[in-house]
Amino acid sequence: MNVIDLLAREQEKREVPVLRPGDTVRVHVKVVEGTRERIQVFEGVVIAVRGKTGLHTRFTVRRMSHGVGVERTFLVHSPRIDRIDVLRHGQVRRAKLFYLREKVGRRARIRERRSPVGGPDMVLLRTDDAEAAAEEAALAEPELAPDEEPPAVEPEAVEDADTAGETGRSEAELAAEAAEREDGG
Amino acid sequence: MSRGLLARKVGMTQVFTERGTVVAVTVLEADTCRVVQRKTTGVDGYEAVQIGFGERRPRRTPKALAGHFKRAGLTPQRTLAELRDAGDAKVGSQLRVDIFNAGQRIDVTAVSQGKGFSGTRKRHNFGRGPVTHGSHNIKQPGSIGSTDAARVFRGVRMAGQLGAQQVTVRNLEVVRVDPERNLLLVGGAVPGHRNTVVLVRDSDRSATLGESA
Repeated sequence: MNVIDLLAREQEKREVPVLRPGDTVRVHVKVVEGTRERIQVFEGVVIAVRGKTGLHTRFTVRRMSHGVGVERTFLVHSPRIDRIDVLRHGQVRRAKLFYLREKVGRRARIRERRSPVGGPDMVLLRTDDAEAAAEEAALAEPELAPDEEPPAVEPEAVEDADTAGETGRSEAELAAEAAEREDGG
Repeated sequence: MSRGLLARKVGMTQVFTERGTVVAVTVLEADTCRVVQRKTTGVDGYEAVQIGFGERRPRRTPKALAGHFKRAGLTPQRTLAELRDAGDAKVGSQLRVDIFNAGQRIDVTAVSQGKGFSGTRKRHNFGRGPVTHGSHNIKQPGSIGSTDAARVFRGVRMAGQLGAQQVTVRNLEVVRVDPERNLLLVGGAVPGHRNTVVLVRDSDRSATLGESA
């Protein structure tokens, strides 16, 4: 492998979620306020993914904030991003959802994709670390048991819930939560 | 301490800073940079360090050059350059990237990418003439001088060779130093194509300036 690829590889996160346009995501961003660092959550719809693979992959998230559309573009591999949760998959027919900018309210809705398009939800990028990742996954396994009742989580509590618990939540619950948000907004 | 070295341009990529911003960097590799000769006031009339880079097949090396490298206890190298900021580098020793620190400002000298014989638009950023309405003035340079001069002045910008000339980019930032792999990550672009041998020097050359003044 050449030096350029090596340098890129070293900076890539080991594991990143598969982001598709239309997905609702929660991005945990590290922000520095004065001297202390805290995590800020930005939740919205992925309207664009650029640079499908590699260090330079970016995605744009759009959300309505107090009636104003706010878009933020993140680098998937940025060290400022603590975690990306995919809350809901959207059924959309184009790669860039810029048309959402002209739509408000019910017209800006995105149908939920029930059947996965295929492929894993997370991508392992660092094959050299594959073993370590497998071990980690094995440790998280008990909490991921599919039949187990997923822990009931309030929207506020979700932030503190560990990754394993969150990915373990059922689709139905995700939908319910999404509906709840819609009612609220 | 010699404050410069020869390196190979590997290519460009991007790196994250601690603040989470991304900088475009050029990766330079200094794997075979060695001190070939010391020039002294007594012998050469000035102080300098001659450094070499790359490899050259012994059979393809002129005998005079071969002897020059043999004297330094080195195998023949491809490129030679001089640093006026002599320092204390020993002949035959290797120059590594650890002579630079992250955040330091450097100048990079190299031969730029050759663009061949180029027109005035590309070479001097001229405009173009009208494309339609019977115009044949699309790529022509326009006036090249007044009539009463009866000649064309020197230095009038015209079409010609573009690129493939020595260029120095000054005040570039060293973003990261990787002593293990002998890599230098320099902020921004550096002249030349991939595998070009570049001369990297500290931007602060006050040491040599004082000497010549």
